[in-house]
Amino acid sequence: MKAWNPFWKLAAAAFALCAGFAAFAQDERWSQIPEGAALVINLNLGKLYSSATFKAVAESGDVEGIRDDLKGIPWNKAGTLPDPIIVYAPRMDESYAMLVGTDKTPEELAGDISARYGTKRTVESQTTGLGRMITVKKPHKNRKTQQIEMRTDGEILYLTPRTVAFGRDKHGLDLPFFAAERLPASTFATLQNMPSDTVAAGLLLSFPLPAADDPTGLSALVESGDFIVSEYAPGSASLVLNLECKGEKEAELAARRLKSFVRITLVSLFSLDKDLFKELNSSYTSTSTGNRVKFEAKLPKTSLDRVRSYYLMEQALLDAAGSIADAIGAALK
Amino acid sequence: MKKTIKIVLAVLAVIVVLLLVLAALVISAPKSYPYTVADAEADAMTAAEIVDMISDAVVDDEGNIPEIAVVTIPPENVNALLRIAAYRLNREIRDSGIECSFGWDDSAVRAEASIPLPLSLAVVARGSASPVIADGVLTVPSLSLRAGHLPVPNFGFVKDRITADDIKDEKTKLAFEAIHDLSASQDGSLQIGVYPEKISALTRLLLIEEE
Repeated sequence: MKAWNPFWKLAAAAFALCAGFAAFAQDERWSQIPEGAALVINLNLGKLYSSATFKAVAESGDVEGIRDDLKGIPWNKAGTLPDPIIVYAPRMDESYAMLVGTDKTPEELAGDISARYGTKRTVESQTTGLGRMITVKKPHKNRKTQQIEMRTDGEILYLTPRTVAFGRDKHGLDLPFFAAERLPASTFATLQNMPSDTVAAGLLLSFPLPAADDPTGLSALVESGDFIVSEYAPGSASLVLNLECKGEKEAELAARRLKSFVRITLVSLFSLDKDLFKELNSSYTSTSTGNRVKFEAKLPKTSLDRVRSYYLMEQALLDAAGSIADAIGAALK
Repeated sequence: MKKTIKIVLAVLAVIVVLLLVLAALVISAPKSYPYTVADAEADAMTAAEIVDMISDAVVDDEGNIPEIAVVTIPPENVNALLRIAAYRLNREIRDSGIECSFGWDDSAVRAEASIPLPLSLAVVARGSASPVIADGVLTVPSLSLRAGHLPVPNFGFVKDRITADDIKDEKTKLAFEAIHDLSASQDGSLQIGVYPEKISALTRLLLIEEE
């Protein structure tokens, strides 16, 4: 067998690199965002859980709940936890859907779920109009009848051979597997290549609140947007939010409104520490160019450490005030 | 005997006529307050301007937070906010058949509710008041209540003087205590002075409860 000509070796290596890059850039989960979705967030769980900056976020109930739900299913042959794309739509009402990558076929996944849970779960597999669906059911005691019934714990819908939509329903409603129509890949071009320090990246496809429920008035101004949350230095955090508005005047108003809303939030949280408030209030900018708005916030480690101390201090003060008030109230009875 | 019967019948007739007149004054056809999605969008935009007004009030030109932040809200913005509030309330109580309308007219809050009765009839209740908060006391001078076309005296329906001690709910109490003063100006604007530090206390309470 002839040895490979070095030129062809280089070409093969370059091709493999490009193919790998293209595969990442063409992450098919982005092209499977269902119609009706308002907000999608690509969560880098590895980064989120390894970063001291985002520890509080990672340990919050919502993120822990998402991770627990993901851990419950053996998605990959390597046993790793995939990064989900969380899909939010206004009508979902406390249910959620995630787009998850898997390297198992429906039969393999159903089999592995059954092997993991044994009799504690019932796994059903069927072909639907949208794709192959796996339904996982767990026993539930009906309070009224005291009978044990199998209730849906989660549904997995194969949108492509490697991408599944996974949802949990909290209210007995139909899970949000509305039509999985493809959106143009170009829509997600800015988010295809997430820098390594990115914790979360997301798209705002439509404003999730109707006008009457939106105190900021942004629903009438904004058409779409995207954002990235990252740790630009150890212990620091940054947020970049880009909005596409309905026109130039709308963009100017949206930029101003965002600034107002953030300022009010900071006052309502930090008015007892005037220096901290000033520091935080000067950490962001909100500008408009044409019909676009760019909101940028950068919080260095020192600011975040101060926020953490402030919150802990205030909680202690509130606890102390509560104890004193209780003691006085008891003494006066 | 005949005379007694005639008197009784006459009295009964007067009572019946009075009741009919009362009914005619109070009962009417149900009232509807049309409010489209386009109205909600327009009012949301106008009401949201209040966010900018509050933002300008809570930080001064040097970037400092004042002890009392004073916001003056023009009548059209107060009106928009109240209309949106009515729209959201109507959404929640849709099943009851009751429909409400709120507004801000001539420096007073106006509230109207169409309360359904059998036979496709209703009582339209109306109220208006100019709330004032000063020295920790909420008063409602110029309170006016009507049922249909009939003026109704305030038999304790609305407390005309409220202090923080009257409020049981802790969050509402804190929100009340965060207000330094509230009144309507002569041009119809609503002026509110708030303590930013007390808003901060309320926010933290809400956040801790969330956890």
